[in-house]
Amino acid sequence: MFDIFYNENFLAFIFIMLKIIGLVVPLLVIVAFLTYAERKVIASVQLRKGPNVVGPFGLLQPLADGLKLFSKETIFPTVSNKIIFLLAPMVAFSLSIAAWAVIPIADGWVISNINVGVLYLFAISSLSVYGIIMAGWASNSKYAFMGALRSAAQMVSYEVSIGLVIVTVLVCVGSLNLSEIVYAQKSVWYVFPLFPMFIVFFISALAETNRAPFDLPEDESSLVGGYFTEYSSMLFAMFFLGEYAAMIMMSGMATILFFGGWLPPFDIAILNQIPGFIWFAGKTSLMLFTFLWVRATFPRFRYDQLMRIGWKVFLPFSLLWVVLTSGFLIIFDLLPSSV
Amino acid sequence: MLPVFFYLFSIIAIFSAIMVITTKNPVHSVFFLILTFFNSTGLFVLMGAEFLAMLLLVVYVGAVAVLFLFVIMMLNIDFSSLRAGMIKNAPLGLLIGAVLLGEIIFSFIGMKYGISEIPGNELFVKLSEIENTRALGNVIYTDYIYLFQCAGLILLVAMIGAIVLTHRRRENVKKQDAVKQTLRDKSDSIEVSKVEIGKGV
Amino acid sequence: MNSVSNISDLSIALPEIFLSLWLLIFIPLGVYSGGNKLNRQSYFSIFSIIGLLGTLFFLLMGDHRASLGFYDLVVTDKLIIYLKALILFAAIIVLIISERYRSIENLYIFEYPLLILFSILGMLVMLSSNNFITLYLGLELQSLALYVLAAAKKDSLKSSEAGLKYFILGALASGFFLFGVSLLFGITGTTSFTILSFNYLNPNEVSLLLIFSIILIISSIAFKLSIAPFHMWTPDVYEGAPTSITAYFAIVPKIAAIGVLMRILYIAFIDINFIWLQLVLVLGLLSIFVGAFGALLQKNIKRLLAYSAISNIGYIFLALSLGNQLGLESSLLYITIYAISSIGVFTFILSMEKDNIMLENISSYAGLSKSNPFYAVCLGILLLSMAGLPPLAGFIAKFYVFKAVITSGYLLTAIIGIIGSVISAYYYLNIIKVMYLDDSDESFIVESKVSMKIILFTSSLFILTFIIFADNIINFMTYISRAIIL
Repeated sequence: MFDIFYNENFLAFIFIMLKIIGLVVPLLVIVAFLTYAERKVIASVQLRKGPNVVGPFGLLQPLADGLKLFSKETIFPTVSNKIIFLLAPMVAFSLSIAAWAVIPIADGWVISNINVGVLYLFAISSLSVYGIIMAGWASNSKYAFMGALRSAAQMVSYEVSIGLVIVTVLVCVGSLNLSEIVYAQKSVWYVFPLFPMFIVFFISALAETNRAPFDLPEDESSLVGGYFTEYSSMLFAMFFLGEYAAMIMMSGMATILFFGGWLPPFDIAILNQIPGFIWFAGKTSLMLFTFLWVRATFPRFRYDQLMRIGWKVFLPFSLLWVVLTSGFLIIFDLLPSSV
Repeated sequence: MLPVFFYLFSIIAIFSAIMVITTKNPVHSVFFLILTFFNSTGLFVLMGAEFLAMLLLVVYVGAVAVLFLFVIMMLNIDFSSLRAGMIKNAPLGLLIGAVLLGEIIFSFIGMKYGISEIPGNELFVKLSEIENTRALGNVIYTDYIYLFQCAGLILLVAMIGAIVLTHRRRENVKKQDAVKQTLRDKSDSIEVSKVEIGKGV
Repeated sequence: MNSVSNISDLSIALPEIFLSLWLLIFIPLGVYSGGNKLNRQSYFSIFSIIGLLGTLFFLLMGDHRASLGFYDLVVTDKLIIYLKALILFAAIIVLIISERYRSIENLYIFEYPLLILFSILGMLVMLSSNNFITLYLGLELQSLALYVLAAAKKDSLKSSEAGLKYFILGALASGFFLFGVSLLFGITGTTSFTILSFNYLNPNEVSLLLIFSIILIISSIAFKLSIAPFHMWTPDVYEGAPTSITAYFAIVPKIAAIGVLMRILYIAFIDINFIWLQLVLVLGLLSIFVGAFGALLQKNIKRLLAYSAISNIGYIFLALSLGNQLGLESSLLYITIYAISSIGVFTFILSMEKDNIMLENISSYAGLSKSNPFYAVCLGILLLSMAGLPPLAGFIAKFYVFKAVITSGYLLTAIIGIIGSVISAYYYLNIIKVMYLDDSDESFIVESKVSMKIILFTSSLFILTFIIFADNIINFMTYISRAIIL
């Protein structure tokens, strides 16, 4: 009966589990410190000091916040739908973690190197809307519901242009595998030939992750706290973690699609000595910094403006670029060779 | 390893499919429907059809089910009255279910005893030989380009039709004209006038 | 690896490609030029008519020889080109005669001609399909556009009802079609007409499942043609839809569906014709009688014409059920004459307007012979022809159908059909009676466009003088119908 523990499958299973833990634990730590980074960056932009009391330079602040949230009581509104109320933050959190399964952080450092990696990422990011809708509906509160509706509409709209941006990159690569997308950028990063698409992708990513200036779902001046108005303690923390993990995921995706993933900027020996994941982490951090920078700089959009940009500007524009790019590739016979 | 996941996905799929039609709350039904889709995605992956699996996730779960959820959440229909006909319609539903089940059983029996010679078998590409995204792309854009374009036109008509039937032009709606706003100039919007003290404009 | 397609492939589908490109220009043009403003409307009609003329040009200038293309999904031959030309011609006429109606009923949206063009595109795809999948896609393209057109009058309850009814039943018919095709694919492993016609269907080994699938396919096409017993939707949809759309429904999609039926029956299933011969025959006879009896008590001219369409398509089914060349050419003749006389009748109905209200009741035509003799005479000729009075065109069409039936040895069938035809003569003659013998309290003068008068006049002249050049036309029908019979 205990044979199961000794066969190969079981060992493989243990190995996969270790890999997952090896990815998720650092990820959670990074998420925690991203909140610290956010406060510091915004503080610097606004000429303040930011958190500086807990620990050296306030470095232990995220830990203190976490402890505080952890030790508080979870409050269920009496009219809420308990099960879905409880499930919503779990869905939001686990989906944003699940997306990391296919992201290669260095050459071969990936949990699952599947052929449809890009589609998987796209699917997961389109699923993350469920956490929000569930939260909004289960809270049985006007603010939460309005926030959820806004968020769902916003995410569905911007997914379309993200999809088209991804298609543009795929046309250049000829594969849906994320590692191959990175390899294809050995000679030139796609951010240079496809710069307008990168801008579209970045702005859509802001909307997709409900970040400022598109953070209408949690627009405190009109909706109190948006879809997590009714949430407290750990359940709230899970939404929070999920949101930041999604942000990191989007930055990672931008890095892979446009900045050559783990590849160094120039193919020379010294740069190649630096391990791939450092390049990857560096590029992702730069993207994350831009996320925070945008938040500190821009005022919030109005909802109709948000929708107009999504449908009337980005959608036609990215469609045009798909056509232009493929036309260009066909005319100059640069299409990736097919098997 | 494989059978474990197969049974996991299919048992959850069947369970949640049953829950779709038995739960009292329609929103819960939709969530169970999503769970069913999700598990079918898992089954697709096990079969090696990863492209279809992801497509199912993106299209059905990511878009169609969101729409369902929107409609059901916002409509606030009295679902208990819809349920009133349940007892009346149950025999018919059971009958149809039984017929479908019978057909499936018969087709399995047929597969076991020799009727498996389905003509046209040569049409199926061996999945292991080629990545299935590529396999689909190879036929869609060559052999079936005509059909693919026709299908695209059908979707276009569906979109135009939906707009024609639902779009209503309303009077007195103020709309933002972004181009007009950005082209606005100081000279045509501000007037500097010298106001004499004590007189007003 | 396969190349996308070669030049000869593209030339086969040139009319379709031209029309779809035209549509893609049309959409942004309509949206960005304020397409729903009143004064722009006639431009869009003219634009779409030019598109149809261009399609007609490419159709007639192209290669007329029978050939396959796009990996055998598409076919063309003389018969297909003739039917396509007839469709395009009829659609142009319908667009012209619906102009005035649209201004009266405030149907001024640019999507109206746009959707008509889309449905035409669907019909072209349908007609040149050599595969059930191509056929299905064409059918859906056409039907989706038609569902929307039926409900185009948004503020009318009846129009919305017509659209919804048509949509639900149409979707059901499409489901039948797909079910039948999937069974057929399961049995034979192919959905291509030509492959099916070669050797995949063995007359000696016909399974029950095959019969079932053929019945499903034929009945779904019969639904699109509103053949009894699948005709229930027709009167309601014809009555509820805007009249100009009813005119379109009654003429253009019928031609396409008949053409498709010819291709399915005479190419794909010709080896096993003993399965469908009787089925088609019974459907045909049933429709002749349902059409004849259903129309007897109708007060509304649109409902009456719906039943008239049912019985007219019944005669075509009767001819098709012969399964030989005679049946094919007589049904071609019949559909041509039906299209032309329907154009005439609907031009008349679309002209009948008093104080910006359309007259749809038969009783409101009373005394028309005195107030508007031109219209009364034209409609009289058209109706007498539809009733089958010699020597008008309608008589010749019916005569050829029955001649074909009798020479193929079905005397009893012919007699039953003739009885049905005599019954249906009653309601056509009744309208003439109302126009010429009944008195009306208030007379009115019909003010119509010159173009509509010309169309009405030409079509009735054609019907009247058909017998003079009947021989040439029948020879032409024989010539093109050889394309399909090997």
